[in-house]
Amino acid sequence: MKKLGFLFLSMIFVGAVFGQDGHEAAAPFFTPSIAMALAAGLCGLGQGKAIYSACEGMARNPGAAGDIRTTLLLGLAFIESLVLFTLASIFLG
Amino acid sequence: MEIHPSLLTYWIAHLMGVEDLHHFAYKDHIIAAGLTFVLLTVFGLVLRARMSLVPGKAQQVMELFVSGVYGLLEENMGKEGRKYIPLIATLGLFILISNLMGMVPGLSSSTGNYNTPVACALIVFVYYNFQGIKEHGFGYIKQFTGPIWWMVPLMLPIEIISHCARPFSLSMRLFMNIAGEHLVVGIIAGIAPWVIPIPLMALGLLAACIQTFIFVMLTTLYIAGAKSHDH
Repeated sequence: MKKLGFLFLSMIFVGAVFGQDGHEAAAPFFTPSIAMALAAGLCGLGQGKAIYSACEGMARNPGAAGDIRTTLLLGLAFIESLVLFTLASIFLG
Repeated sequence: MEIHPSLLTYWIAHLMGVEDLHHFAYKDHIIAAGLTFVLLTVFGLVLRARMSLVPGKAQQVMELFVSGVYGLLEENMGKEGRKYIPLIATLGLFILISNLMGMVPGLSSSTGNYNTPVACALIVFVYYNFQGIKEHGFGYIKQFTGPIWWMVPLMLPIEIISHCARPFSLSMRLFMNIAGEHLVVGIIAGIAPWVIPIPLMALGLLAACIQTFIFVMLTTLYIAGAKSHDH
């Protein structure tokens, strides 16, 4: 696990290291992909946890399904917006 | 970001006799927003002229929408929340039609350009602060300072930054959802132009409705938060 993390970090920072010899520090071509993959994967984990809890709550108390659904949608939008910030920073940065 | 103008923009450029198409493409979202505005105005005027006690199909759809927004407002602010329906329902309708227009071949979403969502979000930002000041007067600053007086130097910058982040996140969420969806459909259509983009476009329909709901819901929550007394 530690080796994997080091591999990821080295892949992300390899552009900064190569950029030090006089040239401008350009990110390697796969940096956006890795950023997006990390963001989307972790967002999937977070949203999965949120949906799991919401489904459980709705199954246990169907009377509260409407309120739970509203809160779920709002929470999913908040979690998702972090991925969208990553996507925006890829395009604008 | 690269600009992909819609067929409508090309057509208007052709009608106006514009030579510099590359520059004219930057007016794409203005044309889309103008079309949304015209559509909504004409639809509203026609519906008002035909309003009846036994609603037709179009009137039923509008009544469903308006009663949904009323329900949202009353849930969050009680009876007095009903007076905010002009702003919130108009924003909701404009964003919904703008989002859905991107699904029609030949048209584009005005919310797929950052300028339109940021205009909506700034209107919301100014309006909820105005409502807070109107409700509390100078005491509105208590919303930013927190309950304990010696926490003020810590709380005030945090609250100001969090309030300034609201229009940014509100607009960026709407914009990136719509633009990202168009981007994905574009890329997939480049790889496999036949049946495969259709499920993604169905997902886009869902996202358009959900993003409208989120925008309206957050606007309601911000106004309710600015007017609340429990701080």
